[in-house]
Amino acid sequence: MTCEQAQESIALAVYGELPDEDRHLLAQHLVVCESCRAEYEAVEGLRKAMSLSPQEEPSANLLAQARLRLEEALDAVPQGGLLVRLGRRFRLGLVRLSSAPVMASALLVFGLAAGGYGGFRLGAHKLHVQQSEMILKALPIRPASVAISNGSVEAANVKPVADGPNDSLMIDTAAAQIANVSQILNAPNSNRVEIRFNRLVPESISGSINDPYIRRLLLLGVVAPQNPMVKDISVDLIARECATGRCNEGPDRRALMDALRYDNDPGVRLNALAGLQPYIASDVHVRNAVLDAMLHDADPIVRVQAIELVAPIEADSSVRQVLHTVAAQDENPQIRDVSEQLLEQEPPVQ
Amino acid sequence: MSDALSIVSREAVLSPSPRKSVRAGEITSETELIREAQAGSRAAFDALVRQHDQAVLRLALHLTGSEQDAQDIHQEAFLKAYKSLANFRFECSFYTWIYRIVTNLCLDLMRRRKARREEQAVMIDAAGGEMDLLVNVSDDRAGANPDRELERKQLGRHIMDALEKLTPRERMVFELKHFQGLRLRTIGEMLNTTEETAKNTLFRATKKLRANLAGVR
Ligand SMILES: [Zn+2]
Repeated sequence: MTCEQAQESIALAVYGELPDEDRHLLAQHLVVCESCRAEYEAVEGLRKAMSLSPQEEPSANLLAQARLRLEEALDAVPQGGLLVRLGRRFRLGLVRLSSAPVMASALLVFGLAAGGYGGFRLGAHKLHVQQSEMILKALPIRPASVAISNGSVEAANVKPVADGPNDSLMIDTAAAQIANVSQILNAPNSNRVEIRFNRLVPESISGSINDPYIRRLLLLGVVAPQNPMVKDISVDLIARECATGRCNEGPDRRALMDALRYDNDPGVRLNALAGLQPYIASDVHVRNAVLDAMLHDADPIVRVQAIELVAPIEADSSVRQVLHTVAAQDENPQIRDVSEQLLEQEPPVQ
Repeated sequence: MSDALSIVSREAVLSPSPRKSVRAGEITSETELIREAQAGSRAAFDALVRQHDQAVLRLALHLTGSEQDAQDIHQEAFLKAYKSLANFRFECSFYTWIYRIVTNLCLDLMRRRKARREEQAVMIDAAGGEMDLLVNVSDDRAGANPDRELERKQLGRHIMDALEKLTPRERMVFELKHFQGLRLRTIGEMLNTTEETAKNTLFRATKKLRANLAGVR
């Protein structure tokens, strides 16, 4: 590879767009060419510097406002008509109607989260599939219930991983020497996630969101995030999966219910809510969490959304009871109206 | 040296190449939604909107730096999609299609702004102690630097300045690659150009950004 070719490849390599063969050639060139090596460091430095300027997420308010404005604009477009508009009240419930994509593939990619931590040699990428799997399967696990009540678990209690992890088992963060989850990357419309976590050195594993091991790391992103952003994304991804029915009753739902009850960010709570929707009718714990949100959530958007979600099961007595309370007591007059309207409707025949 | 090598062996972070690798059932569900929306269902269209509008808003917000502009683009893009949905022929994913509309709107806005700004531009080039921020960043992982927060803030401002100096198209490619993590192939598709052009644009953008960021005050 000539210096000229190397210079053109460097940006692509830094952004993971260089094909394997070229990456090999570039690496060989970098070994012998100091100036290109400097160039590489500079471009990688740029990437890192740019990553320090985090991308601003639109606030829940902005999103809600934009949606409202769009609805009004769409209403003004001729066609659609009255019938369509009648269906509008429950549209919020349709949010997650069409699911997040599923993908069958298992783990594909493994690499160090950020370069410069050493230890990983050229050529290691050839092993990445197996290596990634090995590492994931080697993560020590322990029963989740014990994890909560009891600080230490005996080694004998730990079931060996056979084909996949049991839902009731959590990663034993201490034994796995996982400090925290530092970053979660997921491109729009993809079910691939890359989870970066810190052990003794930062590490990174990516794979299908349906992979049970990946899912366990995601849960760890809720429990032990390095920063709030990680928690947001973890909750969102788990919620997306749950909204489409791919949700285990134990850890996944519990994580969402906790997020709905305790997360400071209304956007996160909204995401959690959407993920819980399919289980409101069947799971009494979920229903209680949503009813709590209806009554107590600080954010009116979350309260309204909760009302919209329980509306289809308003025949349920606990739901009607809470609706009565909200209709009588909510500080927000619109919310009082909506609940009242719901109560006035004939309860559906069961 | 081992730094560079280990980075070279790092794999691509995320390769969305949306919808291509997705299971058949999933394709049907979005396809069904689109067909229903094409047949006039607002609910189906709304469901499509909800799937994509947060990403759209985020992109517009980051590119324009203004909540107002981001909202305008959000509205305009989906209105346009609504009105021209009949023309959607399933040749690309809906996501690519809607992003194409969004990126076009953003590019227009950025071009208009740039033109406006260049009219009144008086380049202020303040003198001061030279400090290569990029070098600093690559070296700071070891240290507990008390002034680090401040430095980061300054760096953030410099980064915004440097991004502003790119052409709208360079800015767009860099944004979609660096911040949205899309594949260059997908980016090419969205911007109605080839992967090759997207590559060259990324190359130019990183070059310019480095020039703009190296040796800032
Ligand atoms: Zn060279």
